Amino acid sequence: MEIMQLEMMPVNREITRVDSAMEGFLISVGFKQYKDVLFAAHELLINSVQAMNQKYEESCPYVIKIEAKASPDIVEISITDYGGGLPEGWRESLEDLGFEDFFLLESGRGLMMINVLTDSFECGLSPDGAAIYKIIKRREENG
Amino acid sequence: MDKFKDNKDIQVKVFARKIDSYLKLDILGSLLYQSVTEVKKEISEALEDAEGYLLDLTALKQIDSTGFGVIVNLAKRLKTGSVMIIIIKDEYIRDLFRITKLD
Repeated sequence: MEIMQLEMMPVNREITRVDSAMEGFLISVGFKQYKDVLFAAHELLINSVQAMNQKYEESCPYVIKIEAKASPDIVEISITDYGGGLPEGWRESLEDLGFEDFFLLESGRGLMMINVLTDSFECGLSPDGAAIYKIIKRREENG
Repeated sequence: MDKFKDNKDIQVKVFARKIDSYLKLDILGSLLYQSVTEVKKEISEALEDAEGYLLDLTALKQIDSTGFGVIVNLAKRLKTGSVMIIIIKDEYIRDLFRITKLD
């Protein structure tokens, strides 16, 4: 199992640094569908940065933690923030939407895309209030 | 920890020019969250009435959901009845357009 752990401040410019590190990791472990994972992880980072800025404005005391794990079968990305998580019923809302609605949406496009580009997408809250987002992508047989 | 990268690391450019009654918009580089505010502003400044619009994404390297939002908002702002043609070269970006049913 290959593991990469990172931390970032909840600011826009940090997304670029983490994207770049994530891309390097996924390529180094030979994950063929790395672009799907990279896209989904980038969307989660946007959500985390937005949520933490909304909650704490200029004085956020927390960092965003990123963990990427690659095994022979899957890649799993976990992102932990203190932005409060997704609203109750997010999963049902996501399943009710089709991409026919993509044009009309004001928000939620990122979550729709994460859902379709990954094999598993979960969000939960830890006892200390941290929101943990987890995505899993299975390795294709030839990847 | 690595030195923080500035937003300017996200290179994106918008060029616009009128071809007869059409407006051609080229977006080059990375249409990502980190630069999307700037791109929206540039598109707003470049946008003018036309019979049709040609959005050339041949030199687009990356896009995210906020980048798709820019394109959706652009399409919503166009004059009723006008046509928008999008040119995409990158295979992965084309797949994303197919997934989102914007193709």
